[in-house]
Amino acid sequence: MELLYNTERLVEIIGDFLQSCKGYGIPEWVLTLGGGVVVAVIIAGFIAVNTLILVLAERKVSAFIQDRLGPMRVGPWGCLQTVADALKLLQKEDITPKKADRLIFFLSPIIVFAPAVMAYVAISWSPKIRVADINLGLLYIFATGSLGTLGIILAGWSSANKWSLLGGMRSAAQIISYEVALILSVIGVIMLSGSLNLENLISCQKDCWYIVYQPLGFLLFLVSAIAETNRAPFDIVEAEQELVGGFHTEYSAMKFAMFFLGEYASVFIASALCATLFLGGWQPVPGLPAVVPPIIWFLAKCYLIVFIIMWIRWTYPRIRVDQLMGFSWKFLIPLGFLNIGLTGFIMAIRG
Amino acid sequence: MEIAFYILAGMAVTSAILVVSLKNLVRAILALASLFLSIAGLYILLSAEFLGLVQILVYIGGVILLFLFLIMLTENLFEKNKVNLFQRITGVGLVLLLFSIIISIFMKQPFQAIPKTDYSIQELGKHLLTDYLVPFEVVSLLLLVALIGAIVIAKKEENK
Amino acid sequence: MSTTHYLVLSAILFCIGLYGVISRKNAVMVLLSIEVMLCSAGLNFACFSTIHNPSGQIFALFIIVVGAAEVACGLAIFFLAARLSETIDLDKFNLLKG
Repeated sequence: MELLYNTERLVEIIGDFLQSCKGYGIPEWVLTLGGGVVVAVIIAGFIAVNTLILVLAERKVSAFIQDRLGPMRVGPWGCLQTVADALKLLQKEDITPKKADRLIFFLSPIIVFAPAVMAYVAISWSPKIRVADINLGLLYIFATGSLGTLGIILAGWSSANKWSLLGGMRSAAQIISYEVALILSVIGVIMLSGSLNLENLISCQKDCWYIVYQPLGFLLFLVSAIAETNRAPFDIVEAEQELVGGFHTEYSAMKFAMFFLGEYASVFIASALCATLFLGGWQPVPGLPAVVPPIIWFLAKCYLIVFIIMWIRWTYPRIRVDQLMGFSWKFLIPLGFLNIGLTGFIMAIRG
Repeated sequence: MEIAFYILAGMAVTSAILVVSLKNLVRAILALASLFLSIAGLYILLSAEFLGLVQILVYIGGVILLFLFLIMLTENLFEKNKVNLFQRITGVGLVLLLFSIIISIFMKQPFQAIPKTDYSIQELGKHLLTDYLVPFEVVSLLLLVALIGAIVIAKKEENK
Repeated sequence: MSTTHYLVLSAILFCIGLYGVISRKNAVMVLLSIEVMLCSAGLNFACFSTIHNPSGQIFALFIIVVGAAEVACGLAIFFLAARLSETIDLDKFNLLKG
């Protein structure tokens, strides 16, 4: 507890330090660049550690749901299993297929991973911890999300492998369809708060979380976010039984690990966004005294959503390609429009 | 600000040259994506944040994905024969002519410093739904027509 | 920074795009070059909107929309052409030439 309060203090200290550096004649762009590098390293470190935790959690949750034990050998209750896996991945040989387009094959894991780091900049972790107060933060996160999908498609194409190509094509079709549903699902929230700034969105939910006003929007967001992050039951992009490994069939070692990091980073971003938009961000449950630090509240909400996403993954079977497209265009998008219409109607009635 | 402009401008010009000169279609598309990204950066530098983010969302998230999707569907799209030298020379000549005309016009204009503006999206939205309502509706209709048109054109004819 | 910086940049981009349209034969490449030109037009609008009023930004938005619509239709046509004639070399589309 003390440590987390200290974390907030630490962020302040770093900010103050950067401010005070201006007095010593260091040019501003050096400070901006230095601050940016520090932030990027912190975020990348967070993503790496978080991925280790999430992968372990995923295996434990799946084991729990399937009435197994899950990894038990490495460390107490197998809690070091993912560390061992990561070390193994790092030692593997980095293979590039002969017919692959080398440049694009090399670039695509980076194109997947970099936007995931970029998205973390806009998240508001607590009243004090946030990297940048972006006025259009919500739009910014969606924009970075659409950048990352480019890497998946390029990976599928550049591998010179039929299965990868199919995975890439499926990804393109899926992401274009579900992006529409995703953006439609948050418009209700934007209408209620009148802002795209995550900070404003959180402060608007002081008295009542938006999940109460927007239950349909919440469900739509959750479903399309799962599809956007290519997770089961919408993971036809990498469907093991049909496509071997989909777009990352040919990838190994660190490049494969980058895809993995990117996937879990975007899952966490999706749940952080969900917590910010519908569950009041870092604010405690309305009515409760603010004893627990806000960052704990925020992380708890994020991990709750992550747990729900994992729960869905290990409960429902994968849906077919044609069903997937139909589900978005014929079901989610009309419901999204319905949600917008209803919200507008009720807002107009209540003034 | 100056440094950011020159970096983004350099990136934009380099990727534009790559777009028109690369032989490999997928690499050209990737260069176009980088051009879109740098243009989005320039929009944000001009304090048109909404425009920049929409540019990324629509162009990289939509248009570039469409290009890549199409290229995966068929191998026939790749260029098979060489670029015509005559065409190339004509191109360079015409373009240089146009460029010199444009620059000579600019030379007559006084330099004008860019003021710090901050149009909020609320303001943009109001303009869009009051002053520009008719163009807005026409554009939405255009999108609908394009959607239907693309489906009708690309659909396989079944009863033949 | 002055508007001239941006205007010169957009003129350069426009000229590069125009060169692409003139010199390339592959239809998809021509479409890519047209996108470059559209981008430069949008940049011009956004630049002028800082001096005058937000109309410029709104027109840049319209350009983005029109660009997306154009790509959707254009790619559909090229896809059909590639299926029918196995090439999308613009010089080969001469069936109407008689």
